[in-house]
Amino acid sequence: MSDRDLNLERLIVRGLDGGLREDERLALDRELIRNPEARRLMDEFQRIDALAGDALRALLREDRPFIDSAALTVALQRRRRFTPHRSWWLIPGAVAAALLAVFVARWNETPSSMPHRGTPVARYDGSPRENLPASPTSPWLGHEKGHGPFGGDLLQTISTTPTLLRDQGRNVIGVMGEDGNLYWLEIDHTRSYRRVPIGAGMGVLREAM
Amino acid sequence: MVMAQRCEAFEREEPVIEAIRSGDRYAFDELVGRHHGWVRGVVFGVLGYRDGLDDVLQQVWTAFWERIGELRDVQRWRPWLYRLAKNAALDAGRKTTRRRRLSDVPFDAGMEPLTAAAPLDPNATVAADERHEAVLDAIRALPTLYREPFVLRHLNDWTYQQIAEVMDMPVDSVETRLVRARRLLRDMLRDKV
Repeated sequence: MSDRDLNLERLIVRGLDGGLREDERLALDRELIRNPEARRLMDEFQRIDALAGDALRALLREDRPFIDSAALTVALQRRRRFTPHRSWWLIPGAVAAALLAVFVARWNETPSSMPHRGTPVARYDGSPRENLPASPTSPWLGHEKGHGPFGGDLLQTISTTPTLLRDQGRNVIGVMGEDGNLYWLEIDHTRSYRRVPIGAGMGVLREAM
Repeated sequence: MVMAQRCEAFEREEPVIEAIRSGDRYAFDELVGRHHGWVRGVVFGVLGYRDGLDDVLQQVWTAFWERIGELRDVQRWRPWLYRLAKNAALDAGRKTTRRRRLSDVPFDAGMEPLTAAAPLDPNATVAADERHEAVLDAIRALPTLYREPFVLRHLNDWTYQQIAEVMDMPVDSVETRLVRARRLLRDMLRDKV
């Protein structure tokens, strides 16, 4: 089939379907007048269209489909249960916020696991409490990891040396400023406690009780 | 001599769709009443036969009712419904093919004949029935690619723009498919009608 025939065929089909511009319509009319082959093609397509329309409409006549009401009720329940929230895009942000909250909460609960872990520990040498070193930079301070006061078992075997322990923690809190900005406050704090031997073995405990 | 250009647009149904989204059964019934014709055409365009057509339509409308909440752009509900109908029809077609293959009977056997139901006019001639049957057989023999727009065009008298909107494709593609469908039908029906 030549390009000319293809164009004519396309023009005829578009004409039958009512999609021609005015200039195309005039061109087709001219072609139909002077070209018997174009007229024959037009007649064939018209005939096929008419038959196809009739046959399809008769076959698929507009019976309203039966739709089972019970199925629709069940479907509605499923829809209400599973329809995604329209603000589904907030979910990743909410998850991130929840993770951050958990992280911050854990940070506040367990200071010994904070970034300042490996806290300076002062060893008590038996001198009066007032003379104990207070500064982490003091030459009295050693570094004993894992001996912080906030973790571990209640009763455990520990060094018998009188000891003053220090533990540092950090509280973090987000606050809304008057200017509308969110401020991140970090509050470092140091807690100290003494560990002094009070006797030997369980006998001491019995005496105390 | 030639039909003038038509530029009909679809009626706007967005308020009805919104009502359906909020669970309004009356709005749903109204929409089904207005649009089941072309949805039927889509399903037939994919299947190519009437066997099981009503079951597929039931599935399509139930799925529409159930999944309307997933529709992002309410203005594009027609392409969305078209895809629901097409997918349901493709599934049904695959099941039918598998069932017939398993039962080892010819594909055509047992299928409802492609003629219309009993003619309302008792004087309708046998020749007219035969012509209808021949045309429907030819339509059924078309590749789905061409049959779908052809059915939508002839069953609903839609414009290229309307077909393109529903099938979510360029107008030029619709036109090309309709030209090829006509050409194939003319070749198949030569000397038959």
